[in-house]
Amino acid sequence: MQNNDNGNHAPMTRAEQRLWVQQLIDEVWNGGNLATLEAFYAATILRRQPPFPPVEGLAAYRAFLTDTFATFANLHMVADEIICEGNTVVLLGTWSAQQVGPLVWANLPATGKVFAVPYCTVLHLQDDKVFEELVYVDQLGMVQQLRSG
Amino acid sequence: MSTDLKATILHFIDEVWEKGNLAALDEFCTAAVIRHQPPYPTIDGLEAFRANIADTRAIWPDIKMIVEEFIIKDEIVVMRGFWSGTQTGPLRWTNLPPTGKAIKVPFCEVMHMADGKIAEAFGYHDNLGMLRQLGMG
Repeated sequence: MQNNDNGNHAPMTRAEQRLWVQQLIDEVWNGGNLATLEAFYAATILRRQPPFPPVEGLAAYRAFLTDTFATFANLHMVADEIICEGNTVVLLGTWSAQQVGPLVWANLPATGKVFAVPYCTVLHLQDDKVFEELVYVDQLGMVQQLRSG
Repeated sequence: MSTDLKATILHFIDEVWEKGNLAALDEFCTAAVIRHQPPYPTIDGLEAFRANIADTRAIWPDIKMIVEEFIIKDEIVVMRGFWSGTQTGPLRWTNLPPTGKAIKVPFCEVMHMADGKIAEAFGYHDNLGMLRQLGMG
């Protein structure tokens, strides 16, 4: 993060964006370090992950992550591909976890099962923070894995 | 180049998916095209893809795709939006007979292009939401 000759904030380069988003994954999603949320997400963050209701604002986002970590232990997100174009970053990869809490929307008690599903996330950035996060996860595949056996 | 790829993909959607001109698929995809759309099996090759589109259109004959955003970087095209359709054919993998229900499903597609054609595609669709709209799940 640098200032240009006019003293204005210079946008991240693609290489910097890649490092930054990997740091976001490591710190927030894989590390569970909610104290670092403000460093990566705008106060007005809007997360859309159909078919679930949107998550709006940093406090709601923090509560969403707290709930997620209570349901899924050993959550691990891997980005196989990071596509940076302008102020948009696209992540493709897999996330895996162990379901240790009830999954209410699927009527599932804690199964203790481990699963892995593909995901695609589109991040829209402004001033080097995510202000919109569009998430596409194979929820059906996840439920199938948790209900199998 | 990116403008060309966007136009190509919009033409592909209109001609093949919406109008059902399956003969035109060769114009848009390589012979060895691979499509991944978990949790379904991978589609391998042009003829398998043609059959998949025919099957899909038999379920949702009025399918429409609305693209809300294109992100194009070199030979990679990411598009996200939603598709809509009326289920007038059976959804065999769920044993669901035709419901006549109209649904709207968010999706994101990532396509790797080669010489202006789709070589590999990854589809991320809200299948859970689709089943819920059809009264399942």
